[in-house]
Amino acid sequence: MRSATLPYPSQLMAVGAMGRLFLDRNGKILAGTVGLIGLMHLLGRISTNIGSTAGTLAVMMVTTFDLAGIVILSLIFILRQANAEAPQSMNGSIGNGSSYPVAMMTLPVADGLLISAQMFFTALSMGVVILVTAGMGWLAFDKSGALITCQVGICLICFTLCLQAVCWSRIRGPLVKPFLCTVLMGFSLMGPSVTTILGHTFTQFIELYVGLTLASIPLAVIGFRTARHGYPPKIDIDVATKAGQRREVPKLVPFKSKLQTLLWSDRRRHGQAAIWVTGFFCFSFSLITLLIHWNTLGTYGTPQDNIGDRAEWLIGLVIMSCFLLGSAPRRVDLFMPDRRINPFLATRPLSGTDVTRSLFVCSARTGLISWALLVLTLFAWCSLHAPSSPFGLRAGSLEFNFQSQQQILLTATAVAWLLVLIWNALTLLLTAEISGNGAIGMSFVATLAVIAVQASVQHNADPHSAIPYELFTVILWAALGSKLILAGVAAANGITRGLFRGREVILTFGVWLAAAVVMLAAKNACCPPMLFSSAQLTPGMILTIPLARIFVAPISLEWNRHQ
Amino acid sequence: MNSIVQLDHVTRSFGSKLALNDVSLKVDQGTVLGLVGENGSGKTTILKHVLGLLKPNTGTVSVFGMDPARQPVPVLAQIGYLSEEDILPGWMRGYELQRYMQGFYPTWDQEYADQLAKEFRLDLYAKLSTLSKGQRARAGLMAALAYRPPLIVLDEPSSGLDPIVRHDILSVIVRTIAEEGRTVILSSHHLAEVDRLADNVALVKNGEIALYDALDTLKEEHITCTLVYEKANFSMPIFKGLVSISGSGREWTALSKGTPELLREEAERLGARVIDQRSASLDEIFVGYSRPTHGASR
Amino acid sequence: MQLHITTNDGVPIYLQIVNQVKYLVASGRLSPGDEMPPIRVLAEQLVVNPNTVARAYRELEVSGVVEKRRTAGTYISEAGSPLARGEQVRILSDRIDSLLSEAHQLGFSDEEIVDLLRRRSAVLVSPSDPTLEEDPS
Repeated sequence: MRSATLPYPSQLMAVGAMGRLFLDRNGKILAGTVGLIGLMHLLGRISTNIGSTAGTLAVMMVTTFDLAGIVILSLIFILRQANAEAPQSMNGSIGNGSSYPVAMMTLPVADGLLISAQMFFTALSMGVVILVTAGMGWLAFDKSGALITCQVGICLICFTLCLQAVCWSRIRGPLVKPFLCTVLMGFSLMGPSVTTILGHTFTQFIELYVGLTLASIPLAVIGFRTARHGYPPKIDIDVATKAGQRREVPKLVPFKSKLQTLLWSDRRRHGQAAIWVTGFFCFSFSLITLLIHWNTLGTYGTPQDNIGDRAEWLIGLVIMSCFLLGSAPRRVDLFMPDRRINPFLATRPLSGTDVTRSLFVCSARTGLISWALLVLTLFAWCSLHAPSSPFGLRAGSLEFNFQSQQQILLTATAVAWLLVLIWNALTLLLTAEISGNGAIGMSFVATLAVIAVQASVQHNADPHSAIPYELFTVILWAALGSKLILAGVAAANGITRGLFRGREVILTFGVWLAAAVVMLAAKNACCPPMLFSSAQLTPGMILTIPLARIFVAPISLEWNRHQ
Repeated sequence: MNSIVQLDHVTRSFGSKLALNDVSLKVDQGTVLGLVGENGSGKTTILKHVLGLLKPNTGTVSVFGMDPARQPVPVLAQIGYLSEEDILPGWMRGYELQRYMQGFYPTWDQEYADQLAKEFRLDLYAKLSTLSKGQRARAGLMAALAYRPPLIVLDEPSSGLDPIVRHDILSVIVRTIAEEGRTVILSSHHLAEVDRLADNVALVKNGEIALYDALDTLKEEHITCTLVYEKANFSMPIFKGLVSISGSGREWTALSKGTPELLREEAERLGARVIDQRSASLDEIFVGYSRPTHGASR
Repeated sequence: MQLHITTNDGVPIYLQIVNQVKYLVASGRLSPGDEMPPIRVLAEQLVVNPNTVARAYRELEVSGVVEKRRTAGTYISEAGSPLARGEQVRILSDRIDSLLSEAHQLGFSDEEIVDLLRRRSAVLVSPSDPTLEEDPS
């Protein structure tokens, strides 16, 4: 088992490296992202050493790319280091892999590259092999046994065919190369899983392959469509005109306002962003936990840990299809060097406030959708796996019950906070777009690097050192102070520029204040006081609610638009 | 007449590169200004100032009496803009584009838009990204004209398009100008286009306005001629009013500014005969000013 | 009414329109009372700026070739016909001027030019006569 899962992050990094070497700009971007996910896994692996729940929470925050989240993550690091006397949770999560990250890091990239190539051919032959096993399954067991093995076969064949479809169609155009890259990613993702099926229980087997089949269908659809139509689609003008005559052009009701128009035109882009962010969430932490806890799944740690781990893992598989679908045709705009506002939008009669308002409203809407998607999946899984459920697929190995009211509250707060974090991630993506500065979007990479260094330093430092702990309190309060000052300055500036009125500023500030108060109340009600210091948690949580960004956005959009 | 667009001593640099140097332009209501110049001479930069996408370092820009960078909403509501690059959102379908534009411009005329689409044989159902380049340019023109903006800014509307599309675009523009009070700024390096459409011409060179006058005045003022010497003359002849000259030995072809009488006097002074004298075409003026003779007095 | 606009030489477009309309009148292809197309229509047909067409019409009106009737558009004026002969002479003189300047450039005398004119005229009258065609001097 170990040998199968071991090369996984390096594989991802290798795909990233391959993309960088061979593909065009879009391919590089996507491949770079894949590489980044690999990096995240390393980080996640490190962070999980400090405890499962806190670690998962931390990874969640890292994946939102938010500075505040990262600050809190650092805080947890330090807290864990300072309060080293919490061995029970550490034992559960470390399992038997404390030297694991080092091993992964030292694994050469070339090895990963080789494995990726190997996976390709393995999967190719696997498809055939497993179709044969499907027949054998039918002979040996019964119809359901054949069905399951068939699913696996179909899944693999879909993957294989879609890859071949892409390869055989004209490999050119902006879509195909990143798509190819995504498929490679899918392969490398599937590779280790395929080798693990043999060692696992029947129900796990079903879950894994139902998930994988689901994941493969959109890929196959894209692959076949690409093969059939080619990319970019070549349409003869005359053909198009003829076709257009046949099709009825619907008469649409005109929009009532500019905001409505903008929301309509952004909806699609934001839908993709939502898929991307949601997928990214689930994808990264489900894989992290899958990798870390594979051997200990259901046997080690506290029940909550297990619930969390399995939930993340399963959601990941379901949402992964969305992720792959969402990221394949979409250029990851975040990494675009030229991020000036689209000239078509810039030459419409719109003020900076109009545009940013629509962007924020849109992001709130899609944030809500992604969040609902996550929460619904989570609840669906929970109800399926509850001991009383008729579908209790794994009843017996699962102890799923909330022990106290406090835990229910904690879960509720975490779920609510997830919404804040998703919206935060979306608005951060917007900040890069609004300001026209890719560097702002890229800054999270830098902060990730900083946190990695910080983590490794802290990991090896004297756990009883109190200086960083004090320092972080100061840093957090200073960050909160500067946030408020920045918001104030930006609001005043925006009023003098005529971008917003005093009433709007007061309203925004009021909403922000209300959100902060609710959040602090929830914190006081449910957080175990020994785990977090109030002096740090208070500013840390308030920092996650955007305020300055909202006021700065129209101003930076003005700068971006009228250079 | 009312001036719709006015640039006063506009200077703009990007880093150390001076993109516009002391540019002053005035476009009156109901006239067509043709901006000509080599690629990278600053035509697009001037248009971006008019649209408010760039702010001048010094000098002022006024469109409909307002600063387009400070008041983008009322200014841009009255400008129809067709850009050289393909900036239409490719994911939209034609009818969606119409609906989108309708949301921003209360003056949108759906009947006119449909009429243009029909005339251009636009497939309104197709996604814009699947259309050919010419069809996309036509869709862009439809989007830019259907709300009947008083000012139309066309940045290289026909670059890279086939003659049929060019003709389509030009004739629609002609029809638009024919409506009372429409003002057009047209940047192009198709000089024949500018020649046919423009009332005034501004020649942009290295970020400066090298020449700015009514097109007919320019043509009447500039003379192209051949100077013939009795003996070979190896030094470049230079005279008053000379813009550019080329040739060698006995025959020199010159573009000069001024009356024919002045030219004849100057030729006599140099001891040369003037033959083939006629008023210069826009093409000759453009080339003459783009590659002026070194040391030639203007 | 067929006009042809060129942008190859430096003649302003309004002048091209004026000259061609005068030519059409002089050659009888436009007769007094004929209606001129509206400015918009002609501008679209020629793909030129309507302001230019308007200017040409003004010039034509000033020189009396066309006249505006209050409600019904622009027409070739009745007074245009006495002008016709003068215009015909003017057009021909222009051509002769350019012929003469070129001939002098090539060193022909006036007599030689007249002689050549006669011969060419004879060729045009009876183009089948090969002897005249083959002897250019």
